[in-house]
Amino acid sequence: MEHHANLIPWQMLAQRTGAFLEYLAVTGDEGEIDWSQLETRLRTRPVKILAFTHISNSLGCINPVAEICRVARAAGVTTLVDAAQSTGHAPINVQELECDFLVFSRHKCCGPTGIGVLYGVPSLLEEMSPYQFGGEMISRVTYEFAEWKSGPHRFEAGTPHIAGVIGLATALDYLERIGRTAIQENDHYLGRLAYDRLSGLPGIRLLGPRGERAGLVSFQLNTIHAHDLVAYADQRGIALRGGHHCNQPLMRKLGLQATARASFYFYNTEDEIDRLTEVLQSAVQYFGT
Amino acid sequence: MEFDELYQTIILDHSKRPRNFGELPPPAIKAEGYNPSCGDEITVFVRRTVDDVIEDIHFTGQACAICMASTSLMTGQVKGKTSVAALELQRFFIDFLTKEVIPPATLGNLRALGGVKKFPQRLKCATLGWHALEFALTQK
Repeated sequence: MEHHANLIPWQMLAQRTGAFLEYLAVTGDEGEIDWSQLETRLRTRPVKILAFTHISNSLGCINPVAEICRVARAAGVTTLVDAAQSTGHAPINVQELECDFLVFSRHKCCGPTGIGVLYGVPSLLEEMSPYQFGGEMISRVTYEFAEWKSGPHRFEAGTPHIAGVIGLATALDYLERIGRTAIQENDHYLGRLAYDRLSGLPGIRLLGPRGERAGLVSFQLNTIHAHDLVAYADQRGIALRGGHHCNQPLMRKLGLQATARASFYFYNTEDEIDRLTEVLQSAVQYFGT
Repeated sequence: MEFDELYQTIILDHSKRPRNFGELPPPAIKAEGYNPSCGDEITVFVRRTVDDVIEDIHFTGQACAICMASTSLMTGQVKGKTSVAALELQRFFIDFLTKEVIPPATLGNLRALGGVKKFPQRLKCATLGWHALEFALTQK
């Protein structure tokens, strides 16, 4: 269920280092993963790092991050959490999650594009070498050699993206004022509500868990292609996303080319879910079956 | 409404009941069109005579209504044409969707796709099958 952003970099790394990339399989439309096999897999295979998403952007599954990290840590495996889909939608506390690394991109939490965050525990950051070189990241430079600053600074070569960082902080403050817990409650409520309402539509195939879910619903409606549906809904004031949601392997596995997805945030309301349901009902009529 | 102009009856009809849908056996030439942004795939099969006339053309694939209809209409329009004439029609068609031109009469029912002009994000949908045709006809 990984977004391409948490898949392709590992493919590239594996190619470069000769490492093997293995997956825990998603087994059905609900995005079920048999987490009970995680411990065995981590202990019987020479696993170095476990990377996984907190919230699936195409299914709405919420993965038990703290529990997964605990199992991984006990097996001596480093963890990286892709929190791109969750940072703007839920309270996140890296100390409680006890992950080794956590990443997110700012544009998914009301911030500017072109900036993201990599969190890493200090001891691991100290062990790691810089991957980019330039100003700011050095402590001492001679004609023969250079030494790096410690901690995160050694990974920030050159003049930083100052405007982006200020925008990032402002967006974070904004979300804190609204309250991450309040955002999460609203998201989850609307996600459940939308799932329940839409499950009443004949011919709909809903993805993701039936129970607790993040604030999104992803679906295929009859034989209507997602992009036709998105265009139809757009003309009626409902913004959906259509496509593979940067989840091509998962879509292929589920036998889908694309889905339409409605995702919710703190500004969305129950009325809009009703409107969405009506629009989808009328789309079935418009496109026929 | 602009939307209904995009999804005209003829478009919806061709998308639901695409004409010339299915494969052609070799030695028909086969070429694929793929749109990475949506995952739509169209495969075009072309059989030509020794004089380079498109004797038969079929297609398969899964795609949105605009793409299915455009490809279906395309098969009807290019059958019986030479490769040169088919590629010329492709050029007319793309110009019609992307430029301010008076659509030539040779476009026939392809003019039903004119609604795409107001939805430029659907241009790739309308031209995917045509690009596959171009690959098929220009293969060595």
